Amino acid sequence: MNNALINQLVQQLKINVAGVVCCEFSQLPHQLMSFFDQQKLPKSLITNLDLDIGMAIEITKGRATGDEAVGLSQAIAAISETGTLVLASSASNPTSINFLVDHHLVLIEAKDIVANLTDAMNKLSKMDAFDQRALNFISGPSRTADIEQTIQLGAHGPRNLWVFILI
Amino acid sequence: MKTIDPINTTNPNGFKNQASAALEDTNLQTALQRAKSGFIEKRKKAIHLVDDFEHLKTQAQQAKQSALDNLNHHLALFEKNVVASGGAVHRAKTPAELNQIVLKICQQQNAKLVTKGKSMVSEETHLNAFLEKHGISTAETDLGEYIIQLAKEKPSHIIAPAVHKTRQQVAELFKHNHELGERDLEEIRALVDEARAMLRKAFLLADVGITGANLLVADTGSVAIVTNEGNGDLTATLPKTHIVTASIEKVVANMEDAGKILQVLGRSATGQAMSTYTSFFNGPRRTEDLDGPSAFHVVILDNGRSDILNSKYKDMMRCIKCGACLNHCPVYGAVGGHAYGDVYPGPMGSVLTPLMKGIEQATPLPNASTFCGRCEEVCPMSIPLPELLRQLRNDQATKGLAPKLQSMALGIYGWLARKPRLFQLTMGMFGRVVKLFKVSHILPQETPAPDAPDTFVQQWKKSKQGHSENE
Ligand code: SF4
Repeated sequence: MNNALINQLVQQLKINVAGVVCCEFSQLPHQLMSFFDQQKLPKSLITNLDLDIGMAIEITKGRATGDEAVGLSQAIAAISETGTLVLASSASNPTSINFLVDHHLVLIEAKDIVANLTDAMNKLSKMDAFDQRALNFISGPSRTADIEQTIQLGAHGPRNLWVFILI
Repeated sequence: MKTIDPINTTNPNGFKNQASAALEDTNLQTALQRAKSGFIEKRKKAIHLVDDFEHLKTQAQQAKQSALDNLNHHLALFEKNVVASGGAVHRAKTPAELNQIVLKICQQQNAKLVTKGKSMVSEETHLNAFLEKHGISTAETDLGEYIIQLAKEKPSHIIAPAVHKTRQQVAELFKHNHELGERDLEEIRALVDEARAMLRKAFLLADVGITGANLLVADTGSVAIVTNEGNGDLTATLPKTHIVTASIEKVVANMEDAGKILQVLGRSATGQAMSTYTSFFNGPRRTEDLDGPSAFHVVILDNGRSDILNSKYKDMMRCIKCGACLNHCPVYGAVGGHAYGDVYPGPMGSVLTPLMKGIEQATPLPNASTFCGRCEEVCPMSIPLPELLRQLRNDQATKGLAPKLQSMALGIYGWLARKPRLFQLTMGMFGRVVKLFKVSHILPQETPAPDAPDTFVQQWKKSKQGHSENE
């Protein structure tokens, strides 16, 4: 496992104003609970991933409709240099979750981290990722600087991006 | 205080009066000052963070140039691949054709409401006005575009359309247009939240979503859109139909080349290594998908671009619409975007507008330049903007379009410019005379009297001693 890539990804995500947690898969339920506690949010989320993350969090399966506060997806790649996650649309990762929820939680396996955009393009081409309807490269929560050049998070998409790096 | 009404009265030939009005518009001057330093600083920081930005630029230029050199092949391949993934490609020679194609698709869907992501091509064709005329409501969803839609204005910057507005002006617009009663809109946060809530409804209701495209990728048939707000993605994901309005020069060969261009785009535009969202769309939803549009159309506009590609101005087609040349242009910085009187302002607009509209429709624009050369330096595609402007002036002179006095003055300017020592001395003196006697009206365009103690070149040298950027 490449620790340098993980460290750089963590750093860059923080620069991009995203929350980051590194944990083993077995700790994920616990880490998710901490997220909800820390953010003082009702423990429910929307996802279409097949995950067993314990009974304490109410999980709704499907796509987002605009009513859900928290959504969970899995990235197929991450770019450490720029703190970017790559999400591909599929039955288990409906694109609406990436943009309609207020808090977007994203899982990324450490083995799927690459160094830069060029490596990402190569990896995605090899995986035939461009056969999916949509690929979203996400580098932080939604933002705008359209009023007086002042950066504000949560323009139209998530106000909060939270990344779980699974090691 | 004069203000300019960009929708009804401006045109490229009115540059001089529009520029004068802009210089007297205090709100505009405040907004421009703020924006300028912001953009320049952000870009500078981002470029300092990469080892060799010149190398990234060269790579990006090669990617773009090789696509342009074989444009028809790449466009055909793009079309084939979009069709293979279940989408449709339409070609439009003129703005009117594009509008018709889009209208037809909307009518087939029985569309009442269309959400729009930012698209300069649709600005070129005045698509919103056309759809509205046919009973279809349009909601711009990029915050800046939304603000100017409410204000019934044109964008004044290609990536920051409402850069000319102060927060107080935005608050006024919101109070006037949103029936939400008394509320506090002092803070920018409150304005962003209010726009978010209003536009959320539109996103969920819209029948059709129309976005622009930053890139068309030939060998995968993908459309790439770059945003920070996520509005482009909501527009492309939620409605049943997604229409992309693009132009022919957006095509690149493959994902590797797309990556090369993305590496310079965000850094040059907003000083970001990657914008928050870069998305690739490859056709309509797949059978197993739970969301995404069931119809996917790409309309590709020419509007004179093929002719430009076959002319001595072909370098202009490498433009990736990053806006860096606007941000670093002293003329744009002084008068803002509306003074240029058309869709594309700043140095790139001063080249594009005469080429697309006809040189006689935009005679002042090639002269709206101090020839300081900053635009070419910061252009990630190394487009020789000053040289292209010079050629346009030549064409004007040949056609007898340049005013007599102006060609004389330019003749002298040109003669001086070829003699750097003398030029610097004369310009330094000239600036001081103008300032001392408050006679700025003698300048070819009504340029403000310089208020810096040194000449431009003197200041430039000083600032270069402090730090060197990417030289
Ligand atoms: S001309 Fe160059 S700097 Fe200006 S917008 Fe185009 S690519 Fe950017």
